[in-house]
Amino acid sequence: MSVTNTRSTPLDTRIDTDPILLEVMRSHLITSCREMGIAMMRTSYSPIFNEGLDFSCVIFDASGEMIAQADFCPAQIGAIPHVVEWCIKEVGPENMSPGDVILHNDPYRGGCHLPEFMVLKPCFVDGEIVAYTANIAHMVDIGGLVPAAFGDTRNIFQEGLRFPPVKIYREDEEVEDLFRVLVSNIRTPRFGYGDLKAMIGSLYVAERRIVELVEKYGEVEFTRCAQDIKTVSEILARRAISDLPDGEWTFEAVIEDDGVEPDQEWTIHATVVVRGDEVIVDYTGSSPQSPGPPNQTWGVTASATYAAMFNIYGAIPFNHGCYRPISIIAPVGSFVNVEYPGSCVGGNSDSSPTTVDVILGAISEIAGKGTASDGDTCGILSLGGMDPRSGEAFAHLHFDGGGWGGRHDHDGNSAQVPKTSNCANTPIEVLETRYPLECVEYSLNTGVTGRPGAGEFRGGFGTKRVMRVTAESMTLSAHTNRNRVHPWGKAGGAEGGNCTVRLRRRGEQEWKTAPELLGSISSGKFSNVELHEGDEVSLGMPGGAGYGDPSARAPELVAEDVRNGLYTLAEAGELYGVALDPATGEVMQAETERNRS
Amino acid sequence: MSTDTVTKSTTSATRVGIDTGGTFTDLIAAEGGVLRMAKTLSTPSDPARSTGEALTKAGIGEPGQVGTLVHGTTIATNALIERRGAVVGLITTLGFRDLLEIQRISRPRSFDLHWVKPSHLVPRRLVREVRERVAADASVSIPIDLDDVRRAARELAEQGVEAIAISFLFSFLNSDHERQARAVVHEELPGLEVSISSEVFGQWREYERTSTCVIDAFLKPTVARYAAELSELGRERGIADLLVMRSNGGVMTPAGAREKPVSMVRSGPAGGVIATSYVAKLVRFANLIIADMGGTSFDTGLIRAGEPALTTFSELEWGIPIAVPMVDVRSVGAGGGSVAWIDAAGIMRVGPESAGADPGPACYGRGGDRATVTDANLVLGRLPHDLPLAGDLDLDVEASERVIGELAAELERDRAEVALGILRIADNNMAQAVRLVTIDRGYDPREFALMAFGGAGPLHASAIARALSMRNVVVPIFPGAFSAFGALIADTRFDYMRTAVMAARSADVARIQSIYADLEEQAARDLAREGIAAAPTLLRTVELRYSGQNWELEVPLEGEPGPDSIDAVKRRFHAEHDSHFGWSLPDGDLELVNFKLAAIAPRPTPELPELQTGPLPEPVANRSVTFDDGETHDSTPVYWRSDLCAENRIEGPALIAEPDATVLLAPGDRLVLDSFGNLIITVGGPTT
Repeated sequence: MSVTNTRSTPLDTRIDTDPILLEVMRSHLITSCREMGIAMMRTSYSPIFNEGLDFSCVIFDASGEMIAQADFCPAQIGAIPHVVEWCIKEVGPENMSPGDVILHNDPYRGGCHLPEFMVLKPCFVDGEIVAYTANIAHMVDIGGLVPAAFGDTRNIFQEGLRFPPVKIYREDEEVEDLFRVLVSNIRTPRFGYGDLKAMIGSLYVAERRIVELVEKYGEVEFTRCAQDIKTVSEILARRAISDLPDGEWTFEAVIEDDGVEPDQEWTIHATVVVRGDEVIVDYTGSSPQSPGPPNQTWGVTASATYAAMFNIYGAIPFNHGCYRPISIIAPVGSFVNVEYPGSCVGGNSDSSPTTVDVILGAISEIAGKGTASDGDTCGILSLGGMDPRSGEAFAHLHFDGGGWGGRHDHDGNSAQVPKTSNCANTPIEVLETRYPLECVEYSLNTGVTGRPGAGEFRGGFGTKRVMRVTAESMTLSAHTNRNRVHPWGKAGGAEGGNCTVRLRRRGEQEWKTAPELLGSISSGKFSNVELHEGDEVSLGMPGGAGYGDPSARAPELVAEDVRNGLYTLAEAGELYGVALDPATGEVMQAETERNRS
Repeated sequence: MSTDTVTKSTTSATRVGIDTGGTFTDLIAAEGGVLRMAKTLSTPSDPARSTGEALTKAGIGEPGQVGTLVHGTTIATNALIERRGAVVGLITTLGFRDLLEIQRISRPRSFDLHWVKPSHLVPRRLVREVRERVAADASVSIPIDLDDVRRAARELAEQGVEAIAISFLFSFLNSDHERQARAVVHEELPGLEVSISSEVFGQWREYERTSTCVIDAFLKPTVARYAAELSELGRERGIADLLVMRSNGGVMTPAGAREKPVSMVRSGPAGGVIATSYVAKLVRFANLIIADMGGTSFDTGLIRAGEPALTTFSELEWGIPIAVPMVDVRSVGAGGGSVAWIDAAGIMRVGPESAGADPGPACYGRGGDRATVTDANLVLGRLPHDLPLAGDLDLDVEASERVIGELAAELERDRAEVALGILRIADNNMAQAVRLVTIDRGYDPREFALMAFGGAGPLHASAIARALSMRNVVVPIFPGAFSAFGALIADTRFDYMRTAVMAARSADVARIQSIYADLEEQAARDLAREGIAAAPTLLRTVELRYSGQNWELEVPLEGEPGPDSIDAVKRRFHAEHDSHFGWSLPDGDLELVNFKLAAIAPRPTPELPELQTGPLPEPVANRSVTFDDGETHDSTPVYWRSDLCAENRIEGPALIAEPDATVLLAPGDRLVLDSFGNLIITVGGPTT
């Protein structure tokens, strides 16, 4: 049993720092994180960074606790404290020198999954470590079974290169041997090298700011301020938890398959215990770890738990203090705490958002923030091969937006990444310039299979994307969820849509699933399908589930959705009992009332 | 009024710059070495009216009294913010009707269950798709079906659209289909306004380009109406030379504005930026940071080597981009009206909520009951509200003391301490905004001087400069009407860009030369349409990146495009990358991406009056002022700015007052007047 509570000493709510200096220092640190992010975006090589922003820039104090971040990727923000803790413990601050940079991506040492590379730099003033800057970023290709990493792997060795905490820079110099090993083992070495340089460059940006702060206010003041920044957030977090009623709530959901075992579902089961100003999230009762890749590492589970709770907290400055009131119990060897050498590359993209929605399923209503389930899959397609235009290998990690679940007071947003991510899509014009792919369609997924759940507040629509291969050949792998299982509705709302991955060979009329076309086990998770020029892949993202009784939805809103082509006239009647005049599209009041009574 | 009067009256030498803001319309008039200022209340729905009123108030309202009028206005910005504009229909490539719904699929805050995605300006029902496709290599993979376009235009017209935006994939590489489609729409629906994305913003990223194109179409009727009203005013008052400020800091005729209304969205701040770059030359600071602080917002940007920085990134609201060349100014919610509050953990915060102009700070006596930055300044004695001539507004000190006292009681601190805290937090928020505009671009704020204007800028400049370890502050002439001054002196300016990605190793010099020849021809046409015959100043820059990167750095191309000047561009790139981001790859492969041209036709600048030298006048008052170190100086002298002479020197503590702004000189600060009356301040004392 693995249990965490990130508070080591009793809460001391005394704030010693002048409250004004505290606000000054906090805003300085958050701005520094933004500056890191700008440097990373502007200098990195892969669209996943410079368009998708799949990275997070963070500052830690000398004790290894996070003191600042700036609205980057939640899945990374929640895992990074564990990653940094491992690095500091394993390397030892006494073995760090100015100008050192530590690299780490080990899922079994607090990490999320292998692609999540983290670089960490101790910041020195007068020979003492005063803080750490860190950047955790999703590297597209890391070697392993499939280009761009997401395949139906059976163990960690198939998933790519693994780095325990090791120095990649020593005293401002590249550790050349390590770089050589690294770029020799990935398919896109030039991109991998450029991206790592950009990550490391961003650490230097923030280090300069931190040193300025320490030189201005002195180390004593800086350290006290860092403590108090965390304490302030902890006080706010505890206050938010105190506003919840005490009690225990249980909820569970399944991951439909792991791409390896046919027809077996994997359960994420959570009991949320609210007691005073603390929360315990106990995952006992979840499935044992799966042979395939959707397992969650400890870092992913912790991160998803924090993300769900932060959504409950509301707007408070997010740092280590927010973690302290939360304890997590995740049985070792289970689906939510995978053991070495179990595969886990897919835990961060589908299982993790599902975990967030399990916790929200348990307590969003009692928190007055009731919400139905999101689409909860990133819809990951991994594509790779040779680009005939450049003669260079490419690897593309594709993801898209699903629908959010309806909320107690509003429809779900359409076309959004899950709540554990905050990445942007890659523009079509960038995609086609960078990769030998042609985008044939990018629209809202209004089809019957993918459409969102009806409700007084309906779910949001997912996206639909069709891409055609323009290279002689390339490989396609998929890691998606919710192809069979639906997002659940709340308060009488209907369940949401399904994800679909379909393939069409050149010249054929019919779209097929991977099992139909290739005999793979799962239609949502498969590896290294060979595609040829003119072949197409279609990704339909699931719409979110509905909240509240569909017959309580204002008929005018249904009419508006029909006018906008989101529903057909027939769907308005079928799903909402709303009768519309076929000629004008106006609501027919009497008939609607009759339908609904 | 007959047209004869117009032609006869163009001999007037009076030149006028006018800036219509949300609250006030400011006017600066120049004639024969004399500058005059006037202020009237704005009439936001009809900016031409307050413009006319300002002329009348300044005593130059009669026909023939004004030769040139340049107008900066927030009319386009306001129309966008209030979402009052044309019903727009969008015609796009088959398969891509939902780009405006999908946007970029991310969100502004990581953890917010309640966030509602902003909707764009075109509802889904007003989007039509047509068969056509340009590929990533600029070739046509599906020829355009003009019958589809015709059908789309007719259907949209039936739905009552007032303007049409046309945006196709890869039109930034090949705009042929967009042009053909526009011709068909014009045929089908003569008179309807049409915008095409390749003309509005010829760069990659289809969502950003489409969004900008839609916004352009949305603004067309509003700006057309405005242009007509302004032209009418010009006719009535016999003003021959009538121009409007554009977002890029240049001016154009009202007819030009009609063509591309989205180029006016930053018309307001552009004036301040241009004025800053002008004054930069007078005061001999090449590098300046703008600190424009008004009632609700703080705008900041850079002047480097005397030139304003331009950007193409801005947003209507989160996720709705407006991408046109505009002065690079960022706004944060920090102004005189920013409200101080205490969060649940007992920490004081300031802003972003603002009390605005109505009810405004508590001291305005209009029902404001929350402590604001202005109240804090008043409590600390920093506003000489009791001086005769100090503006039209009566400030209620007791009200300020009451609301700040309430916060003080809650925090168990004394009132002055809390007032100082409010200012310190607000000053820090502004300093952080400055850091983002400097650091983001790789510059060290300490190598810049701070140009402080706006109603509140001069009061806070010394503290902001201290927070950033900057040594110099400049408070220019007319700080309260500085944007109007900028309009008065702006040049005619057009910006062009062509995307042509090429590997630097095999850069095709002949192609680059032909791109610039094209752009220059376009510039000549645009300038001729504006009635300018003289050869413009041409500034060429190239945007490059390491092959693989997606964002570029802009490097000047010195001299005519040729093998040597292009080599120099490459060398300069490595150096700039190193200075911006701390690393470079001197052997790395480079890509030349965007070729840019600015064509600037200088306009006559007014002669600025010079001040006489003379002895330092007596202070008009002495008052008790509390400074950032908590010290109160009981007899801080207050000078009236218009009494001061060239080369006068003042040491802080002191206040320099004028009708619409107050300069705070902290203890240790030293001030000297230059011969034009600009205040040059050397920040002294320890940094806080």
